[in-house]
Amino acid sequence: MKRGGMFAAIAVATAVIATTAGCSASGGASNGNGAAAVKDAAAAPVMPPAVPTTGLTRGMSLPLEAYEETLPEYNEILNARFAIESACMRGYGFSFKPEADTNTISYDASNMGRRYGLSDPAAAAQYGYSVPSFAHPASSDPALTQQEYVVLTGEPAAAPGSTPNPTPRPTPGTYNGKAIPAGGCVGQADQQLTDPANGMLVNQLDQQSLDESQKLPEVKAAISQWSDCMRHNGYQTADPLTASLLTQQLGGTTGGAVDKKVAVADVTCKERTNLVGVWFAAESTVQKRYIAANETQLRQDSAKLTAARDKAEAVLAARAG
Amino acid sequence: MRKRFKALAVGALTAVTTITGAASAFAVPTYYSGDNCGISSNDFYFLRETCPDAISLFYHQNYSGALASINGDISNLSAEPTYAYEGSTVVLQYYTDYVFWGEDASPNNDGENQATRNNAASAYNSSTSHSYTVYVSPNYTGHTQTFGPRSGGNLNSYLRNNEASVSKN
Repeated sequence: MKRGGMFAAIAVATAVIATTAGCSASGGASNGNGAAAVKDAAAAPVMPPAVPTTGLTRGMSLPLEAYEETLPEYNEILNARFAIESACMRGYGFSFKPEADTNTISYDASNMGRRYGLSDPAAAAQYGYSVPSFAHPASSDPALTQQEYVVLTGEPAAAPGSTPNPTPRPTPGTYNGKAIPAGGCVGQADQQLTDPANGMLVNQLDQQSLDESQKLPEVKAAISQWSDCMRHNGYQTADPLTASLLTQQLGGTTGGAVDKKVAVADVTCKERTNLVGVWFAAESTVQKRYIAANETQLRQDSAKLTAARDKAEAVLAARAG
Repeated sequence: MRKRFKALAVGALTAVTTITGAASAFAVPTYYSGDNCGISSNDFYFLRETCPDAISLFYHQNYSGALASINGDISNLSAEPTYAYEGSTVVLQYYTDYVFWGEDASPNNDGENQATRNNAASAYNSSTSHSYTVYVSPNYTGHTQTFGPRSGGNLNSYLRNNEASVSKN
């Protein structure tokens, strides 16, 4: 979407956001999942299951998932990197001990539970399109002193209240006479262990198959039936992946009464038309074709991931020992 | 920062409120913003220091071009709702449509003022301890790509120009 000639509107927005909305979390206001936060404050973050255990995607696992990085693998590599950073910081007399967070809904890149839009009738009725665990906003990063920030990142910290400076600025060389690694302690972690997932072919194929399968005749037919069903419920929509926007069009709030009503209709129509089953079957076929055509690369990427995971295990074992 | 102050001055004199087509029946205003950190800066390195928990989305690959910076969960990059209490009722106040802001110091401000959704090509997570997940569709649906703390990369080819929601993990 290109936006030529809207400078004045942006300028207004800049002014308003800067003066009133910059602190939207204060004054009782909330955004995004805020409405859900009011009602579901007890919902706690949980590790998503490897395969959905509820709803229309229950038991479904796509062929490419075998090649994708799982959340436990992601967390293991991240925790090992944190261990490297923590040890490095300790060498400068600083305590830095972050831990990988499990407040996420996707076990891997496929995001199976919400891959074809909302697919869980019980969740639709209880939460609408909101994600209950997201009602707890992620905590802030550990507060770092300027010195800690410099050693951790290798970047000079801004003085409080200073104005933005042209970039980039020179990297500091030492702290208390001790040399800071290139990129700081994060840079040291980068040298020893990086997560290869974002460079893996499987992540591209995973989205490509979603896109391609959505255009297949059998999926288009099922989506059309779902769309008809939604129309009978009073909702105009042709795309299951953006059906949640109906709530906004109807002036509702995420997780509110309108949102739940739309979400229930959405999932009920998916169930009646077997949209999820049809789509999953079609996409599975597409992915098997991708695997056959790219098996060598997929295996090589998997080997890189395994090597990173092994390295992470070794780092964490050494730390525990 | 000269350019930004100029923009603010224009804003103060121009009483324009832009309404999205989708929400027009309810007259909920949509505001355009390049970050939700409330710091009105378009300097990437300054953002990384003063809004350190944010993920920055860039118009071009390899962290170039104009950028938008987000801290926290955004269910819809093109119309993120903000609610407030009116008594005990939660009421929709306005939408934020995230746009790319150019960096004054950067020689490459391609994408400046364009919508972030469907236009980002790379991302950098400045947080020291949190991960961010980018979703291809609104409300955290569809395919995902996750960026660990102090790392980034190009959005994978099909997520590029399709990103719609973001969660902070």
